[in-house]
Amino acid sequence: MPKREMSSSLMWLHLLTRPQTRNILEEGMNRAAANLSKMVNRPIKVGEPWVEAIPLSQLYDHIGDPEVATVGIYLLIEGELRGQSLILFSEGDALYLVDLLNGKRPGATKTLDALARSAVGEIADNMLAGFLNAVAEFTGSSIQPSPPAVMVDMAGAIVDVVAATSIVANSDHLIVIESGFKDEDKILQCRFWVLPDPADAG
Amino acid sequence: MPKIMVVDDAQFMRVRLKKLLTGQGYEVAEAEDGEEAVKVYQQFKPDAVLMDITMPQKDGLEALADIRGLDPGAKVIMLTALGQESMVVQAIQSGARDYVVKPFDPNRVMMALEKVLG
Amino acid sequence: MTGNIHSVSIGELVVSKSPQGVLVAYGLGSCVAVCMYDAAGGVAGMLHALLPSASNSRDSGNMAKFVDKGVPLLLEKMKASGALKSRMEVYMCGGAQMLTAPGFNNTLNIGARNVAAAEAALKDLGLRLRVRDTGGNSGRTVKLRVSTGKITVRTLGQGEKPLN
Repeated sequence: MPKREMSSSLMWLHLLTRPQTRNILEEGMNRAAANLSKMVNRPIKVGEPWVEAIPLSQLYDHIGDPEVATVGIYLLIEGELRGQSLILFSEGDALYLVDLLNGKRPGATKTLDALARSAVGEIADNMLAGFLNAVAEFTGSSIQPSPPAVMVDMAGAIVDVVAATSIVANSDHLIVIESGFKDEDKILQCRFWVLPDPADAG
Repeated sequence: MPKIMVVDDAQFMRVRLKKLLTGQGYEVAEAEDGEEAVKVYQQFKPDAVLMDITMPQKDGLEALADIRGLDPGAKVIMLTALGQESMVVQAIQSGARDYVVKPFDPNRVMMALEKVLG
Repeated sequence: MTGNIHSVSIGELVVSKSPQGVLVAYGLGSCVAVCMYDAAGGVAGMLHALLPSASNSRDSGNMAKFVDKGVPLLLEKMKASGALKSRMEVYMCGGAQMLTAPGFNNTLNIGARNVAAAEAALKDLGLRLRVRDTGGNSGRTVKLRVSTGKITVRTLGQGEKPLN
């Protein structure tokens, strides 16, 4: 990927479609996992990232049960690359991560109060920053996440946020870079989504 | 007892840093964004500042510039998840004394503080 | 609520005359569900729209994802199934503001814009809303029973409650 002087849309095009840029996405996801791992003080593995175009009509099938209680953290990607990120955890996994973060035994945190939500927001911020740090290094650009917005609600209601912003000027598809995370043998019900700015993806 | 101001929009991070620092005998004041940081700095007159970058209202780099404008001797350490070279360079050029990348190692934060406090 | 569940996903518009039918929009956030019901005709319809207006979009495909296009389409489809406009009961749910963190409040308030677009579209058609459950900061699941026109709204905090 050539350095400097690339527009946000051209950078996305490269990231989403070029086989040569695969290692950037992989390195980004590895950094996200490494940051999560360092925060919760245990090994976290990450699966290979993939790029997909999710049809709007299949969005709910894609996320599973749209009514299930979910923790979603929404962040904007700002700077020379523009987009958004949505990180989804099952409610149980969010509580589990907060326990690990605070050095408590799993099951100690029962509800996501303001302090726990802020901890979840910090986890997401560090994961996305890890991903963006890698992309910024490879491309020689400056890219930052916005402060996180933490939502605890039905999964469908949470993904409405990115559906509404991604579909707006575009096709009926959500373009998503996704990866899954694993804590030793426990597969975290986590979706780490990175989405291009709709104005750039068209 | 040295006075430290912790600036971070995440309540979790302020609580964690305050615990770490008070445990080491520091006196701590908190601010949750850059705007508040500038106000608290003038009242509390801290010996050093731990400053996040990504924050609503006013970010850490803007707050750094404002604080250095008020007090050219201000000792500000950036503490952020942004590990990008351009960001580090920008912060150091704006007068930050050190730059610690999150997720942080508590020892690294303590060392940075001890260094700037002499 | 039992019956034959017919899920109405984002950008979909469903009209049913099946007495056992239940139309359901799951997990509405900023999306709105507009429900129409003609008791005498035994016709129920639901629109699950994502965005307020088609005017800013280059897309000319699926119009049911837009409130301003979807509402008149829903009325047309209801009429085509034998419903009469004069007997139409209209309800609306959804349009929540999911992002409440500082910095997100004004820029992305699609929920409120969806609700306003639905109000305008219904006014244009000369239809009046009977009951609504809109706004707030919580996701909703909306169910409409074809046989009775009864609607329930479920949230995570409040459970399932009747709307009408």
